[in-house]
Amino acid sequence: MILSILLFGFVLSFFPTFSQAEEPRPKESLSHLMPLESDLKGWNLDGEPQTAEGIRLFELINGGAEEYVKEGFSRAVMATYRNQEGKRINLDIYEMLSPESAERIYRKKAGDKGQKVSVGEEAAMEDYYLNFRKGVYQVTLSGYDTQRETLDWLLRMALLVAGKIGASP
Amino acid sequence: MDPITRRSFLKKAACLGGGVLLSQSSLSGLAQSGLQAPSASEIKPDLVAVKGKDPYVNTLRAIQELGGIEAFVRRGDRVGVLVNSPFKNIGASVNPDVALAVIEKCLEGGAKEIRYLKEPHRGYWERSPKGGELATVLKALKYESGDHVKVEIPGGLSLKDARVTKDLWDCDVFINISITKHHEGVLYSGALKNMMGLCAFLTNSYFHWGTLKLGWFADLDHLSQCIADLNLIRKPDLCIADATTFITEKGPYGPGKLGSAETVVASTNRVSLDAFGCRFLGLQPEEVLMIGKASRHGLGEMKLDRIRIESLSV
Repeated sequence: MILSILLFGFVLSFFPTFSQAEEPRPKESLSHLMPLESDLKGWNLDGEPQTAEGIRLFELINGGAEEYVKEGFSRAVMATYRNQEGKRINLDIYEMLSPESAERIYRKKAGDKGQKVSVGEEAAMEDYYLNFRKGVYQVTLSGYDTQRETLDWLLRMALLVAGKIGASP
Repeated sequence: MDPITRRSFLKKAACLGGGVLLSQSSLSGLAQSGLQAPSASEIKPDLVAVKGKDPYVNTLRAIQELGGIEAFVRRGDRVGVLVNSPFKNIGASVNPDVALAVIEKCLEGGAKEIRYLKEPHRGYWERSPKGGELATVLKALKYESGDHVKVEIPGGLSLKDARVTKDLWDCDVFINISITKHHEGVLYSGALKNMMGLCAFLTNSYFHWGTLKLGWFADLDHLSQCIADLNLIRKPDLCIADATTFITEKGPYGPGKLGSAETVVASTNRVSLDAFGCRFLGLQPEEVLMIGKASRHGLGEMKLDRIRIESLSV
């Protein structure tokens, strides 16, 4: 077992995520893409956002990281917003290595299902979650119910994030 | 062969002592004529499935049908609960009402301590409408220490040792609370898979990378065998499966299309539980590699026509 673990690093080199690790990292934190509390009336961040880079995404979302790492993942930020009624919305922003990577992972996450909505370059709304992509980013927002109000907030937050991606240097 | 738990050893010793006393007693004649086989109503089922709108109520009823919490927890016991609750998306973690029901019953049963063996995701308990009224229950919880110890697994075929939370060995009673959900790799995640929550990240990495095939799910046979081997370390005293609302795709993390069976399932055997539970995902037990491998380890019965199943609605 120890030998296998020692060879773990060797195996990682075959993943585009790891092989790209020597490229200079963007200086700005991904949290600059997150909606500010001032943008969202009545919503606040619930605790500190969580971040992950490269292979460490597995520690955060376990098997859910496989597809991202395979398609070329750089880093992610994950946050939860909460309003005064106790409603929660999760926001996961994944920065991929290229727009093509983002498109591929978007296809896997959203497929051709869901209701098309106008966010970013491509977006789909499902029963309680929304996926979209823009540039090198793939973003997922999810709630805990299928109420209209929740879906409206998913869309509103998605538009805010998409707008910030467009404004990025 | 099932590993010996503290409780099972004490039970066996008591039975052996009782058997010796009975054979020596002048009342042995009574033993021949007075002792009767339990009636049909006294025979407990091997697995109970309770369907209803309220996961909390379903869970309480499922425990009751298996003999009540007193069948599992005695006064002064330290109870460890392994709840699959690290993922925030709906249907990816156990409904907190199911976990709360189990924990509350354990405290009613006189448990001295409830140890939560795997940290839940932030905001987990706030998802439950009962979180407020059961605040005292939540205050009683002790969360995982974060310390792991190395455990040898001599019967393991692929996994010979594992780093497992030290807290598991500080518990008199171990309860496994899982959710019946989709898993991209092994197709199904239930009680057997839930045991990975006890392990350090490095051990879990070995499950996925141990044969050096590229990809987190590249060697499903190895992964499944490791999961089966891991289940040799300790048998849960009680297993609960949340089949109320669960992801049917994009598991283990989600989000994805949800399934809803409004059911809570309970059993003392995780192999039978998973064999029953995988069918909520449209799978047969034979399709889920780890179920067969765990069964071949002697950890339980996967053929459902060989066990006593009770299904009811509330």
